[in-house]
Amino acid sequence: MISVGLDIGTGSTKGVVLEDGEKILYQNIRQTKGNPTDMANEILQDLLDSSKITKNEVDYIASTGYGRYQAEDRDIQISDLTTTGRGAQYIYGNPALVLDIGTQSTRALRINEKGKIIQFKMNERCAAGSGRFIERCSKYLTIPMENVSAIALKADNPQQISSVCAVLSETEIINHVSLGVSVENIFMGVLLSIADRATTLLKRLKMDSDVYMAGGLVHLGAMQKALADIIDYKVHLDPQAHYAAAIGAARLGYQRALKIKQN
Amino acid sequence: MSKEDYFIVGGVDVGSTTAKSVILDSNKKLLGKSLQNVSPRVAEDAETSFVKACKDAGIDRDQVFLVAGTGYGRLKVRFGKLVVTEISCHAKGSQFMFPNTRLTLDIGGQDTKAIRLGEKGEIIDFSMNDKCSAGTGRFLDVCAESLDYSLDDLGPVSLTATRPVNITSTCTVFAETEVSNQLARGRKKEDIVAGLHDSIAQRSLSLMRRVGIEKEITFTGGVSRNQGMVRSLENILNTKINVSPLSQWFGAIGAALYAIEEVKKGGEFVFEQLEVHP
Repeated sequence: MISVGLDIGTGSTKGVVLEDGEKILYQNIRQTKGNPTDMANEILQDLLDSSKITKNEVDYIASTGYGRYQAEDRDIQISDLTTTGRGAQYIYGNPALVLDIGTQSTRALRINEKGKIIQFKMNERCAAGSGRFIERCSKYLTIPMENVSAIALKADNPQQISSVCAVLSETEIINHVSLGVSVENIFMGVLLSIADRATTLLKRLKMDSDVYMAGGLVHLGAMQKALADIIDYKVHLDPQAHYAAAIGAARLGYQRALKIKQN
Repeated sequence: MSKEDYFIVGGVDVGSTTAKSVILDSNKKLLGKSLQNVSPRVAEDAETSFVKACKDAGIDRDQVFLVAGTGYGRLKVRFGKLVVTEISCHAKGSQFMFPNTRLTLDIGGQDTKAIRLGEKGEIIDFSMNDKCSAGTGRFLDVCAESLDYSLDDLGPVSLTATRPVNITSTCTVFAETEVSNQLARGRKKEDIVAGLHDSIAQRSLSLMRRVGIEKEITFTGGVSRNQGMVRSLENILNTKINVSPLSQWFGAIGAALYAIEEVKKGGEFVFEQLEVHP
């Protein structure tokens, strides 16, 4: 049986084709641009073309993420909290605490062994602490996003950011630049301030075990280091966890399709 | 200097974005003023702003008997001998310009304050937001840029709106994304601009509620130049508010008024911090 998971996020759209709820046949990712409906269509078409599957052969399509209601071909839409939990469980085995840092939101989840959410805390009202903050810094410091991690890892004296607002931090960062602080130290400071905010969410859940990362920031190895500096437990990072929500959606979609067939 | 003598004072209000200076004489007459952008070299900008105001007043800086500094960069007004907090100065300035003021709303480049005044202009309570850029001038600045407007265009554009868009983001950064989404949905620029003003008005309202909304309300700070903002505030408050072309200088005027009072009290001036708090 074939199921598809589409995760239409604020920063990027992810898609996964799953066979029998276990085997990933194909996955893809694109930057979210324009309206979510077009994004969902585009990513789905690419999934089908690349895995040489026709739409009729797909048994179930589940959408998730902020644009989930706009995915035209969906059979169901599922909250991204639910799908991230399930996806993280698939990727990491049995992660009790999941930290999902996306473009516009940060979430700390406590899940059970089936990937079901027991408790969560989130921030989606303020850009400080989200991936967008790093994107903006990379833009005005003219350092491409893919270089940010390597640069931050070279920091020898990270410059903490005292401002709690992403916009007001910009002024602070510009002052750092004019005072001659290196970009390495500035970027690590930015990551530390994000780690600090994420840790606050985790603490509200009670931090009592290793932390597993999901969301777009899994590509930043430096983020793992920043978190490890603050968190007493081990921080795990698998780049595949960027697809956590899409995988979770595809797996839940498969289970539903199975139920429908059995009835 | 005795009470009857004629003398000249200066008030320098160094904000996060601009420095404002005024020159007043002992009869509280405004002789000159200036507006100067602030760079990371704050001390220099403060001085430039003061020198410009002297020039505008047609006087030499040595003729100024006492200079008072206020605002976020008040300690950088090193040539002044008096320092007063901006809360006191905005209250003083608004009460001087509009004697019946009971509430001053100051929206600046990076912070917003609501100050409640008593009948004699004394400060009863105040509330401020200096942690988050939403609800401040900076919010308009960022949004103007993403809509390709200059900051000064925003007010007039906002006034032409017919169906203001409801902006739901409470964060400047996310509002910027919301703006581009609204544009993609085909909403008119002016309706988006009006929506942004309404969202600041909403935030200001909650700040004002914290100190208690009282008539009359005087609007000060750089954002008070924006006519669209005045309209949004008047709509949400359902009352007229006081604004003056000098609103941006109310802090500086307040500082100069404190300087006059101090001179009249007599005494020597060595850099003195005058912190007036409720």
